[in-house]
Amino acid sequence: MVQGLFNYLNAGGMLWGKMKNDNSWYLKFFTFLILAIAIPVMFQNSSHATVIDPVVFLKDAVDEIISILQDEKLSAQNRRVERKKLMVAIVEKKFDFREMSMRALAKHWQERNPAEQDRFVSLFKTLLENTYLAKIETYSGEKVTFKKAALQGNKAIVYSDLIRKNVQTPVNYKLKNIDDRWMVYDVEVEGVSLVNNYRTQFASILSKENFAGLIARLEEKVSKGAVE
Amino acid sequence: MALGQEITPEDTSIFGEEMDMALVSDPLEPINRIFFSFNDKFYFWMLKPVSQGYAYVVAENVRICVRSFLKNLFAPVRIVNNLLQGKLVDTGVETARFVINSTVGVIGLVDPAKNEFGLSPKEEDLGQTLGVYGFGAGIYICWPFLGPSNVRDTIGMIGDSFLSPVSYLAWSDPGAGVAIKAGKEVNDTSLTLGDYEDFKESALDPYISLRDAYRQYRQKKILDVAVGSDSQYNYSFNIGEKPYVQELSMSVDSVLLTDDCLAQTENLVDDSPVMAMR
Repeated sequence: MVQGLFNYLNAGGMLWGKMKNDNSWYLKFFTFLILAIAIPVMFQNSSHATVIDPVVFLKDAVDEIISILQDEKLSAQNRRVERKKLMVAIVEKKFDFREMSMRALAKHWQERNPAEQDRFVSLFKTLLENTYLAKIETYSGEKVTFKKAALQGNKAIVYSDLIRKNVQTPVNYKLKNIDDRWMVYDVEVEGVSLVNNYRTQFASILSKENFAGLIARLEEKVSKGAVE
Repeated sequence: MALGQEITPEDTSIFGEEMDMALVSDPLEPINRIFFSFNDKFYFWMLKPVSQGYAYVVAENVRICVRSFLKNLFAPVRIVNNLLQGKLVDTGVETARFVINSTVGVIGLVDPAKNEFGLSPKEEDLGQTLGVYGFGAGIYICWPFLGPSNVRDTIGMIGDSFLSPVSYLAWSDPGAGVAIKAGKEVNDTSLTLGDYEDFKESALDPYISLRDAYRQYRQKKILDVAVGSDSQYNYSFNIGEKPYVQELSMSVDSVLLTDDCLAQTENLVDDSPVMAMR
């Protein structure tokens, strides 16, 4: 948003320069008119209308997942698959798996073609869902406290604590604002970034094997997770 | 532009991306991998079954008290290292915690310092102190039994042992020292059963994953950025002034646990899951 405003003002400045040469006062007037209309519209967009607080954004996700976990009808053995699908749907709305994949592959991302990239995103997403959603299902008696947030440009960090058996574990969510929507692109548990951790693993594997080898490893891991 | 007003310049680093691989120096990888799988087997064949048996016999609240008691014994390590890092307020906090928990907290079995006085533990060790002084991590070492470390943290561990009452006991009676170390390990493991399995489940290469997790964990500890600085705003948009708290209490057990007075007065930040992964 700020960037857009800046660009706009820049353009205005250039126009201004021209006007001096042309000496056409009406252009000056138009510039002011456009600015007078545009600035309030822009600020309205950014500060009130659509940007929601990242803490609220995450709180909503946690609330939704808890309500699913607490739904006794869904906890029946034969509805487990359905329950997982509901949770996946929530997670998909809040987590940007493509961004995570890009960051985790880093320089290797650019070297892949779109089909390979899509395949990777889908596998990485399934791996994360298999491991972390399965973990959520076993939770009981945990407490989640959202404490504070920090914002910079279009990014935010939300600090939270997970309290389990009287042990407090800091869990930080990193979010990016795309088109006035927040998306989580990294999670830090006890200061350990998930994306960085996978990046190191992928880099290590790719230093010994080719991309197909990495995909094969992911496929094997994902298929194992599905059986369990 | 209401968002982000209170960002102070020192906060910018938290958004910093680690674009270079920052791979740790690991010339010992072949040996480390052997010790990693040794620790892995040790966990599944020894530590886990023993801890499960212990957890079956000893109630969770008691185990939490034991952990709290042992943690209190290591207060001198935290006090001295806070002092060595020039953190005078935190030194005072740790000292006060030690005094309160050793007396009111019944020789450290519970943690009234945190629950009644709001004094959270300030985890510092010599490895972190050396890091603050500018020592690099050195090569990565995966010790048998002890798990992930590096040259700096190993030196730190040895230095800290001079401040640990358990070490003094071990010097006069090695058997008792080993017994306490083993007991502590079993007790801690009994409270984090399943974490190591989850960690292995999530990793493509558990050895690399643990090595990187340890590197990140120690780095954040040294920089004290894992929980954010106090200058960041306690934010509320539509949810009032209180920080948002969500309870995930879904089992009857958890309700019973929170009713227990011991569990209620004891609420400490323990060794992280990373440290427990061995």
